[in-house]
Amino acid sequence: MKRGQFIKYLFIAAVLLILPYLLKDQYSRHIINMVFINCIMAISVNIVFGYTGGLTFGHVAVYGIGAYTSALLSTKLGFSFLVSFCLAGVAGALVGIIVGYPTLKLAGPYFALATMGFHKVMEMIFLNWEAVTGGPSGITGIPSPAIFGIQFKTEERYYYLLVIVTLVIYTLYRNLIRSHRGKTITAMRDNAIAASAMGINVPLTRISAFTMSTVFSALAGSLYAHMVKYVAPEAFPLGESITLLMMIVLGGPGFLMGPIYGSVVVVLANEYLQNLEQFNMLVFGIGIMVLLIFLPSGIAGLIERLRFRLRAEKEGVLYTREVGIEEMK
Amino acid sequence: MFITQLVQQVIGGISIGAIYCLLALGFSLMSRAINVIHFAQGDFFMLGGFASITFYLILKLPFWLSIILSTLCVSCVGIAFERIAYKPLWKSHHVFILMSTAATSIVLSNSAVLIWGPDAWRFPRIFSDQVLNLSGILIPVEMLWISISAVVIMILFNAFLQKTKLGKGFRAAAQDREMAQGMGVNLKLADSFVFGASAGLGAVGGVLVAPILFVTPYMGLIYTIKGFTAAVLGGMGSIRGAILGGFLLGIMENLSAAFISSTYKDAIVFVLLLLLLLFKPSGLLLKPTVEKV
Repeated sequence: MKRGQFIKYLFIAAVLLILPYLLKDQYSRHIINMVFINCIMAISVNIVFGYTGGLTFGHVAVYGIGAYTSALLSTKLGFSFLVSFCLAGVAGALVGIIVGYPTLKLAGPYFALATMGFHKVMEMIFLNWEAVTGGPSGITGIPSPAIFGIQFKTEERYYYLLVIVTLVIYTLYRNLIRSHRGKTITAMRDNAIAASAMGINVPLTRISAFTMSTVFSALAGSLYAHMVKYVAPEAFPLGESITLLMMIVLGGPGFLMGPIYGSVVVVLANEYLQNLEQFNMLVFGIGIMVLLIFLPSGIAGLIERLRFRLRAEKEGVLYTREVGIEEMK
Repeated sequence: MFITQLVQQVIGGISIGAIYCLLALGFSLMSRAINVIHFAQGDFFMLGGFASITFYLILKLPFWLSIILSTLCVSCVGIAFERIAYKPLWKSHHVFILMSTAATSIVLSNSAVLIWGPDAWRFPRIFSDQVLNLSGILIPVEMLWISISAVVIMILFNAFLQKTKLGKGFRAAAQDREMAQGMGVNLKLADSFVFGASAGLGAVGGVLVAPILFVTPYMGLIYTIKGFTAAVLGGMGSIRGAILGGFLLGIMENLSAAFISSTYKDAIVFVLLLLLLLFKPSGLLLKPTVEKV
């Protein structure tokens, strides 16, 4: 590891450690926690949208499934946090395989509408299957997590749990993208037929990427359920999918750091836009359109381009480390 | 008794199916011409409903005039979005255009909230509220009118595409753009026509069902999904398929609401869509196509 890199990581670690002490009030601590949960969600959507090129509207439903699974297991069966967290991940994997198997063969728009249909079906189940999901009133009294005797009761303690989980998930995601499989996923996005001619098993690659992302979503759902201690159908609207896509487009679809930039900016912006209320979604819609035209590779793409220029001046070498979805046609 | 009920439900399904046909036609037209699925189709439908409310209820114009005016207005909105939002993306990854149309849907529904408020609007009755009684089978006259108007619009539209010189040119542009341009087809006009016409078809549907439904700003999404399901059912890109799919979807939806469960009526439609995509993604009428390099 180079020295500059070491200092950078040290700085990030220090900021992450002291962040909750910089924010005094409960509400902004809650917002920071939501940034982390959304970050996990954005990572999982970026795998599907940025790396496999599928427009998904179904990940919020998977997030809901994770939340409900975790909530049910810990309230009705009395499972501990770690067990229900892991089982929520298993539920996410099952959903990924069941939904992914029929839908991933489909071309772009068909996939998008199929995932939208999946979301609507799940929404109806959350709302109407009262015996299990509690109907519109949802499930209350989810215990706060305790791992090996450490209680994560307050928002700031929960923050550290979220930081650890997010870092683990980010590492998994980074390793996936940088590995051989990650390269095959990108190749498949850019040209599926050419990729299959090169010997890539396209259906298997697609379904494994999709399943990985649904597992992440379900884990994020579980974390959410244990944080707010209450799940109800209105926490998982279709609009949330739009917000997630906004994060990806703003951050940079198909860039490693894209979802992180996007989730930080969008969650914080969402809080400021809160006083605009009904303009909120309108601003997002127009924002997506404008960004797609003028800044299609997002913040991460912008940074990458600046770096590219710097490197070209300094070393005389022309290359970019990462290529987003937009640059490859 | 059972047979009467069955026939009753099928007839109800046909009348709502006529509306799905209009939506599916819009999807099919655009998919065939420029290979784009327009996610805001249902929002044009919603916009049509609101535009007719504005013209008929607020400005007190006659009903026929408000149908024409609202269709034209919504078509203009469709063309405007094509010019502003999709033209610059033409050479991008296809997912970007798809996403831009999804963003259009959000912009339209939220603008409608700002203009007409979040509440549902009730359109007054236009057609008579009589009910025809054919030996036990009840047919509301307004349902009859709605389906007849929808069918007439579809026939006229099809005739325009098949018989007139302009329509033939547009169909040629859908098949081979460069060739059509070489033959003197105005591609810009053809593209605008596609966007305008599919928005207009959605809007006409919205105007026609406004008297029997509540019009709300967020109704677009569910109609997008239903119109899309109908288009896939018949085979995306085929005009006959869209019409068949629309009627089939209407009938199936009504039957499942009556005989299975009305709470999960919409869920049944989505499950149907998923099954269809799984087993016969090319639709009922089209032969499967193999993608080649």
